Amino acid sequence: MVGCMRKGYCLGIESTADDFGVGIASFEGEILANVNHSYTPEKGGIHPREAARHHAKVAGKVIEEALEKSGIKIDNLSVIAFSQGPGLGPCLRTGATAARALATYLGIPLVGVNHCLAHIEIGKLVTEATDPITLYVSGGNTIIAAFEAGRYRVFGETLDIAVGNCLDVFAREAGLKPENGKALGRIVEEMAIKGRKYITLPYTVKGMDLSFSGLLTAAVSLLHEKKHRLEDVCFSFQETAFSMLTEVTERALAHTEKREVLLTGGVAANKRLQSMLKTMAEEHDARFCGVPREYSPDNGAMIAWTGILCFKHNLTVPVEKSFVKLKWRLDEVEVPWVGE
Amino acid sequence: MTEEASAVIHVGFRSEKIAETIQKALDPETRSPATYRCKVQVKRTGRMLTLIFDARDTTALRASVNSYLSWLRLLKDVCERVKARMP
Amino acid sequence: MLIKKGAEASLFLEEWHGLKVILKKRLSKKYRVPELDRTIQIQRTKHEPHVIHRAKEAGVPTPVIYMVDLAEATIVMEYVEGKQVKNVLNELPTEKRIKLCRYIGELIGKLHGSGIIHGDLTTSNMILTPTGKMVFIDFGLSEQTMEVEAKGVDLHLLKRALHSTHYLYADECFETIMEGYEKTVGEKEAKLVLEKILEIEKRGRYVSER
Repeated sequence: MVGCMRKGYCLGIESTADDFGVGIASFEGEILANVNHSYTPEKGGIHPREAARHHAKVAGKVIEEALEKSGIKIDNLSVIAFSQGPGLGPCLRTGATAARALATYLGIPLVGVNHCLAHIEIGKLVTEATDPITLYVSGGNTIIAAFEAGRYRVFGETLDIAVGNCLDVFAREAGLKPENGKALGRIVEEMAIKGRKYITLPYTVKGMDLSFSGLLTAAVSLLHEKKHRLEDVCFSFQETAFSMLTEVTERALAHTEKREVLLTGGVAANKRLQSMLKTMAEEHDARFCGVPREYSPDNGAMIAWTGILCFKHNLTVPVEKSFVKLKWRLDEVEVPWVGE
Repeated sequence: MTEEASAVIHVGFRSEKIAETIQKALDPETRSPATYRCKVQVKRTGRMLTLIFDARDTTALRASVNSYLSWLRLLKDVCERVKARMP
Repeated sequence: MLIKKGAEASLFLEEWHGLKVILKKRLSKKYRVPELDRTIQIQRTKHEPHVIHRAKEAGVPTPVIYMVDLAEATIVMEYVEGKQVKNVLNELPTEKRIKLCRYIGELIGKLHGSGIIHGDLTTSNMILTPTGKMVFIDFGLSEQTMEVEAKGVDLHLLKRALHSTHYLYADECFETIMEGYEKTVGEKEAKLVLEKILEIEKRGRYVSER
């Protein structure tokens, strides 16, 4: 191991989708700054190019703010990390160019971090989980993963759309709008609390994999029928989607015999999903590790912390070879620090 | 489509170091472009960068120029902020 | 006696009218709302024996069903003596492993040929009996369809399961399974399914066009 004896700090840049984030972490695992700036489209889903333009605009300011918050001097940074993939091309490229510039200007090493891996590692750091089964749910990803022989293996995932994307499309079809900085998922969640009647919707679990497109289509046509209260449709939609997620996580937990269940990603903020997973985990005598709101959505701190883990194992990348990897899968990444 | 479109952009920076940093930051993007409909080269003379765009058509040219202009602004911004913070 | 507490059901090894049986009881899940919970339990309890029967018709060994109790969400079936392929595969010498995988492939081909999608093809759900017979168990998530997509997903799941449990031989095992599969379903169909598997993998779970 190199560098772990020395005091050091890593600045990490997250830029895979609609969030641009900068985090600063110490080699000992202290998060000194975590500044994130979200791109919210006026209407409709994310347009990758528009999100990238937003990121380019705010990047300098966010980096500056993170440095300010961390209280460390810029020449104390020993490594720069960035989310190298998977993600939206224009967004990834924007974060990558900023990271390359920092590493080059400061003359320090660069680390390309796998975005999904970063979610798991920051989750472990802040919840003190050691070897969990992870459910990572966001707008772009739905993954059930656990460590096995050198890597995080993907035990289950969505066969079509991500659950966060499914929720967003549903919410927009229902005419819901983001308000007062509340995300669409949050608005659906609040509606669902007022739901009373469960309406049967397609429940699609295949082994440990899931499919959300059938559920989405059926839920949208329920909306258009206008026969039910919107609250009941939101409730039924959430109950179905989250039961599916909980069931596959439970299957993976039973299969791997792990003792912890880690919930992370943008959708992890949902209290109903948290409670379902907690109930399930308890039934298996496993500990539920919910990643707090500050670190569950896409954020810079997770890239900084994972950057440190990689850096300590010499997993750096030369600037001239730091190409972004749009479809970089979690199970392609070696994680030599796990199980040490 | 047989149309061709090209553009050359010259940009000057405050220092050679900044120009060099920006060139290096953009380099991987020119070598693994999002689309092969536009080829981009970034050359440097002192504190001047020259960006050369060779595109299949004007739509591809505009998309690529827009991306690079937004990155140039981002990189200049980042470099200057870092410079100001250096002891 | 409880022998396995699965994610979805508990398996008990019991004596039932002098027979050694497996009692499979679908569990009620506290995390789901009662309406959904009940629907899932009944659907799966009804569905599983039906598909197990159809698999036999297709020539794939499955446990004998003795009784179905919907109210209790319980199925009583034959206890199959043998070992899970999961525990056998890594121990076998190469030649035997290849032979076993080819056989598994042939049987999956028979299932798919009859429109039976297992839904949870893992090496834990295949039992190798002392006589060398392969018995497929746990049809709780099965589907009945002739769609290439469903067959592709079914085998893709198996491939992934192999990669997570038998990573050392995963590729070899999967290739031999597909050889056996081709032997049963024919070259043309096998090619279609294989292309579908590749498509599913390439589809990229990260939705970039949103």
